[in-house]
Amino acid sequence: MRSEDDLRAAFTDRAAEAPAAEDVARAVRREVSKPPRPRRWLAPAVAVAAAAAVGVPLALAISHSSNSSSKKADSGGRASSVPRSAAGGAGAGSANEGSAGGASSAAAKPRVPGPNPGAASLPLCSPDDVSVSVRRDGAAGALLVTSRGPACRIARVPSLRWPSGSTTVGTQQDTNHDKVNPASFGVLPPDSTASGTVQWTGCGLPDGTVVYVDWGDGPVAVNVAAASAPTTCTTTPAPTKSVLRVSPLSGLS
Amino acid sequence: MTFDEFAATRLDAVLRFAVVLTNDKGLAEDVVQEVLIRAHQRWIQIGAMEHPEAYVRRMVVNEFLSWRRKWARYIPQADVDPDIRTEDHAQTQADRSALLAEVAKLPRRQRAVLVLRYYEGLSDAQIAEVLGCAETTVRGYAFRGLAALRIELKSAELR
Repeated sequence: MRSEDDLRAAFTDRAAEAPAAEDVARAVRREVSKPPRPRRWLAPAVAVAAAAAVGVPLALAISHSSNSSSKKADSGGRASSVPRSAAGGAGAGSANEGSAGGASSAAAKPRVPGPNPGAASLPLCSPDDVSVSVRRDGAAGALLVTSRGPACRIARVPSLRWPSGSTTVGTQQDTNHDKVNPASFGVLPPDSTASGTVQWTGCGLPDGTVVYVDWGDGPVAVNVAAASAPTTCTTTPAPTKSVLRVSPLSGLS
Repeated sequence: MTFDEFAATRLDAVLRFAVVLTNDKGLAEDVVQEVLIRAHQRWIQIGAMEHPEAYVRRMVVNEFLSWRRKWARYIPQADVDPDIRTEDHAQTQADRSALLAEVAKLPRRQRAVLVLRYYEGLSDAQIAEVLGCAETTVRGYAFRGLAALRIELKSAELR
């Protein structure tokens, strides 16, 4: 029979065979300091998830879009009849405006439908949409632009100049008049009048003088109407070497 | 106690215990390394304990007892055939080797109880705490293990 002491001695002998602690400690430190193992399954999983995240909504959107297109094609006849009648109504309105204004070109102008169109989306005021007059009262003058139809847009501070070929040429000295001026940009409401002050140098504006007004839609010839006696000038025609200036219009919205 | 301090002062003892427990030098090294890697991750708690070595030893025992799959490739083999008789001057060493070979054939829990009692010198209560079982269970394991090894008991408690 063996004794417990034999067992203790055997264990002690076996313990002497233990590996060096330094080797184990070194292996543990090396293992601990290793960066985490790359997760090789992660990249394919992320790729699949990304493809699903992009592809599924895209496929749904394309499917929905094609369905909408086919539905529109199916109801195209009914849908097209509505704008056609609306266009007819607008054309009738424009025809009425044209007869009132004495011109029919306004019917061809594009109109922006909608209850609250933005200022930039409104059409420019055409000569048929407005009546323009230049009035002189002594040494001062006024440019009046009165709406005769729907709201329209004044693109810039109007420019005034003498007719081309006249003996005296007055030019706009304010360079801002030659380009769109955001400060003067505005909408001429229906049945309203916008006005600007006209100033000149030299003999000024005799009654009946033709000037060209341009607010962005091309020059429009206007006869000057005098409310008072004309300025005395020593030369004929009167506006020799004079320069016209007009202030930004007031009354625009 | 820092991890490095533990490795420098206590790791030898842990390794010796592991070798006795597993009866295999390579397996003991692997078990201790695996345990220390896990211990390093939460050494702040372990190092703050009163007896970090006891906790690590307990981790080694649990790792050894859970080796069913992980350490299955390690099948303890007897270093010496117990049936071979050697000359007198080597008889003692041969007897011890034969005894260790028989210990290696014991069930793991019985082996752990014998190592903890006769190598570490723990009481049955301490062994029960390490293994997470009752003292009577520890005594049962010890009794069956010693009987299998044909060891005559001197301790009155097991008689």
